[in-house]
Amino acid sequence: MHEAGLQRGDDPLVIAGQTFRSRLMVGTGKYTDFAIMREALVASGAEIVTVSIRRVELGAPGHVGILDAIDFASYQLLPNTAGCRTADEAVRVARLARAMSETNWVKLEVIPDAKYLLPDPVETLRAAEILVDAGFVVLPYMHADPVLARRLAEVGCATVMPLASPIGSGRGILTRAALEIIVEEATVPVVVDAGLGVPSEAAAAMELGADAVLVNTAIAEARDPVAMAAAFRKAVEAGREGLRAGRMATRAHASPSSPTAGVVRMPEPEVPV
Amino acid sequence: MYVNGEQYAHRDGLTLHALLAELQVEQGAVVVMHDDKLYGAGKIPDVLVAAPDVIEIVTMMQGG
Repeated sequence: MHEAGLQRGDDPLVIAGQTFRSRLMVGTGKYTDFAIMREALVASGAEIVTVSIRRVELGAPGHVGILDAIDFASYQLLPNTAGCRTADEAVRVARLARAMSETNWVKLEVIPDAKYLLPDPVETLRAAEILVDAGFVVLPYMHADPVLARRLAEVGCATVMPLASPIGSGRGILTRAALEIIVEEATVPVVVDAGLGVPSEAAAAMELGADAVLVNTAIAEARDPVAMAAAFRKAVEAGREGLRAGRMATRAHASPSSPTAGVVRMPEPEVPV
Repeated sequence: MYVNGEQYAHRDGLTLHALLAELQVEQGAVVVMHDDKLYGAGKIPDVLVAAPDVIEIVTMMQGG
C-alpha cells in the first residue's frame, strides 16, 4: 500500500475515545528542575504526561509539588500508582489521584519488587477490574505477557502497557518476541513502557507495531534532556511511518541494488606461470 | 490520630482547616482523605477531627 504524503493528523492515537496526534507519552520524574522538564515536555510533542501522587511531607513546609510546574490545559494527565504493592493500595491511590487531578485516567502500577520493579500480574488484574468498574480509564503497566494483555483488555482496560525491560534500566527491548504477540493479538492500544534507553529503541517499538511508547528516564537523565525529548519525538514518528509504509521482505542472501548487467570490468588478468 | 502514617498529637476542637494550617499546607494544592471520606483540592470542609481518625494529605508530584 502506498501512503504518499503522510500527515501527523492522518494517523491519530485513540484511547478511550480521545484522539491524540502524538504517540509519545512522557513521564515527569527525575528531572533536575521544573524548567528543564517543561522544555522537554514541549520538545517531546507529547500530549499525555504521567505524574505521581505522594503524601505531603510533614514538617517540611514549602515542599514543591508539580501543580504549578505544568500547564494542565495542554496535557492529558496520567497519574500513576507507582509505589503501590497491592491492588488495594493502587485503588486507594487511584481515588486520590482522581480527586487531585480531576481526570479519571490512571496508569495502574502494582509493583511489590523494589529491585527490578516488576509488576504483580495477579494484583494488577484485580486492581484493573475494580478500577474499571469504578469508572476509571485504566492503562495498566504489565509484563510483556500476551495472556495477561488479553485478560486486561477483556476486563475493560483502555490500553495495555507491556514493559520493554525493567523501569529506568535503559536496556532497550528485551521482550521483543512477546511484544510481537501482544501487538498481533491486541484489541486495545499497546503502549510499550519502561526500559527504552535511546530513540532508536522507541523507533523499533513502533516499527514492531506498538501504538505508542512511554519514556521518562531516557529523556530526564540524558545529558541534554530537551534535545533527547526532541529525538524521541522524531524516532516515534519515524518508527510509526516506517510501520505504515511496510517493510521489505528479509532474505537469506544479498540482493544487489545496482543492475548486474553492463558492469564495467577490466580485462581478465593474466595469470603468471 | 494519624496523619500521613505518622502519629499526630490530637487536641479537642481541632478541624481539618486548622490541621492544614498547622502543617503549612495550602488547601488548594492537596487532596485529603479523612478516614473514608475523600475531599478534592480546594473542597476540603472545616470539619472536626477526632482522636482515632486517620488522615492522608497528598499532592501531585513528578513521576513516570
